[in-house]
Amino acid sequence: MMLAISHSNIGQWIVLHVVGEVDMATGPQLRQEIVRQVSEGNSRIVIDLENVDFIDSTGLGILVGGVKRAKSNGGDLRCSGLSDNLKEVFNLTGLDSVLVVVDLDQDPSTWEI
Amino acid sequence: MNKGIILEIPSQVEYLSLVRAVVASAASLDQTLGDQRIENLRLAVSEATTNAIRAHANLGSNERITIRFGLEGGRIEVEVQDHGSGFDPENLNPVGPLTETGRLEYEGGFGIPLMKILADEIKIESADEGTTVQLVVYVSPPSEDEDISDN
Repeated sequence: MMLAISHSNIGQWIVLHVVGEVDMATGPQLRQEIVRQVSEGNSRIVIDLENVDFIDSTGLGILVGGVKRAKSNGGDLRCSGLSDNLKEVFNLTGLDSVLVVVDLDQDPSTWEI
Repeated sequence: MNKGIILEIPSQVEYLSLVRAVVASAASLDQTLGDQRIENLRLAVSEATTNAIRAHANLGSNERITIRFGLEGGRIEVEVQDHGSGFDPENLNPVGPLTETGRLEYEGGFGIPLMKILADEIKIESADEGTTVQLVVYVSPPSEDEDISDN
């Protein structure tokens, strides 16, 4: 099963809207998209996880890698739309201390780097 | 423990979602198990199955992976058995625990620590001919007074 990933722009940020379950089968697709965006100069990335109800350790690793990649190119990678279940996984792994969660309805000028 | 369901899957990542669906559906047969407990079990079993698929891939093995599910006596027990080359369960995490400063510099190694957090019990038996991971989730979470071993 594939992920569906669409894009939108909010201010200087590109938002990747992800639909599906992120695991070892689908995670490479998300990694590839993050790499592509950064290589095209879009290093301010928000991963919209509103329609993701499952993410495993592969997916978490991809997000961690995305943060490192975006920051090393002068940007950052943020997440949005976390379900309670995903919040729990982020909390258990300590990712909530590394990955900033933003509200897509907020003014993006408040998403300071 | 009576193993109520036995699932054998090809060692391919495309089957992970099927394993998760079967485990979640089977666990929900016990109507007292909360949604978050089912989610925890679903993720833990997915991690174990992912590791099994990875172990087979490392060997180039086409053998099938076996998942046994049992719900009995107030506990759900799931075993994931592979035929990989095994590993030393005592030497799992060279990059340190999840809470360690700088740990998140590393993209990998979340799987087994996550399983240990999510399951009430975990037992890993590994030898040259393969690995069996046994995950147990109590239908009613243990009280804080109970001594829960992860071995």
